[in-house]
Amino acid sequence: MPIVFAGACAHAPGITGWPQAAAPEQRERFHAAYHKLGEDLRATRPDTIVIFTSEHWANLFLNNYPAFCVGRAPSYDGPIETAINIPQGKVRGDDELARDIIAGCFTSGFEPAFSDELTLDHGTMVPLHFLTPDRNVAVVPIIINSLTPPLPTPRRCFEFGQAVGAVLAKSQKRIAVIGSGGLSHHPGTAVAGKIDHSFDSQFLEAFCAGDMTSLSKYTYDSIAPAGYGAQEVRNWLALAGAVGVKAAHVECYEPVPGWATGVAIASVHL
Amino acid sequence: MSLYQLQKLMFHVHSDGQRKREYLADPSAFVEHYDLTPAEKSAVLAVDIRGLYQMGVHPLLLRPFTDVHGVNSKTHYAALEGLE
Repeated sequence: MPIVFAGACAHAPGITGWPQAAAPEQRERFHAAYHKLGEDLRATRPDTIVIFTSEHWANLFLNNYPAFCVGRAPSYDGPIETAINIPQGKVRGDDELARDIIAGCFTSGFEPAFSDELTLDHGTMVPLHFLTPDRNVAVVPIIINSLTPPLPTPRRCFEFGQAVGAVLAKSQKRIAVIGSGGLSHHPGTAVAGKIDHSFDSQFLEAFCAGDMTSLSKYTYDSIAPAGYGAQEVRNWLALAGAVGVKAAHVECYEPVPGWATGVAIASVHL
Repeated sequence: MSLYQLQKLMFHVHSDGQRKREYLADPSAFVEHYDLTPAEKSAVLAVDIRGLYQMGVHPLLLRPFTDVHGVNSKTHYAALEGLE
């Protein structure tokens, strides 16, 4: 069964945690686009959502930090944060598909870490809040290190996405694939709130055109001026790899200082 | 300087509910579980936002840690003014 849905979306905690910090018209446009992405995803009746995501010190620490980590649990707790206004509870996992993904990666040149216990944070829970508000679609969270250097190169993340996509293409399940995070942001720092419109627009243009020549040129250093949070575009590149590089459409982009992030929603034309 | 230990303390307070309760019940006793310098211990116990940031604590370990202490966003960022 081919992948039935693909999209990318920001996960800034302010989207749900402090929505009033955004200008009303920005908030309304962005929330409407996020809800629409959810409606479109649910219309494809996916069995499982595979989400390339980031986590922010909720599980992984410097005693042993993986570049890639596939969640392999039958259920997850989340969110870890109370401040993001998303009810804490269980999220169903698809451990069967996770096992297939891990096995497929190991035979194609990738050896991701795997975890049978993850507490999901805003990186996964903000997207799920809009995509499957009833929590009735199983999830495979795939964490890519975009938090603590050294990070896998963007090119490597794209290739990792290809390895995951090869498994998904062979699955009998209906699968939605999501890339979570970005774009420009410097959360928690002295320059939080600074948004790099130029970086965001160039990245979105290349992503939507399926322009791998441009996307594969991104490096840690070329992304860094847009904020360490912008390193999360790795999740978008993994998504591009998983779906085989398709054209996409920006459903919404809003630079929101109150959320300290240039937030975007994109749907992929499968 | 034991940034690893300092960040480990904050990681535990953020990610482990039991440890968070222990920390909040008795911060002075809790910090003794970590191999911190006197300056680091003082910075933790004083919730010295600027000092901890300058010691190199990751911004997304520091912000949840100040949040545990009821520090709002405005106060947190005001403490960092002028830094990079």
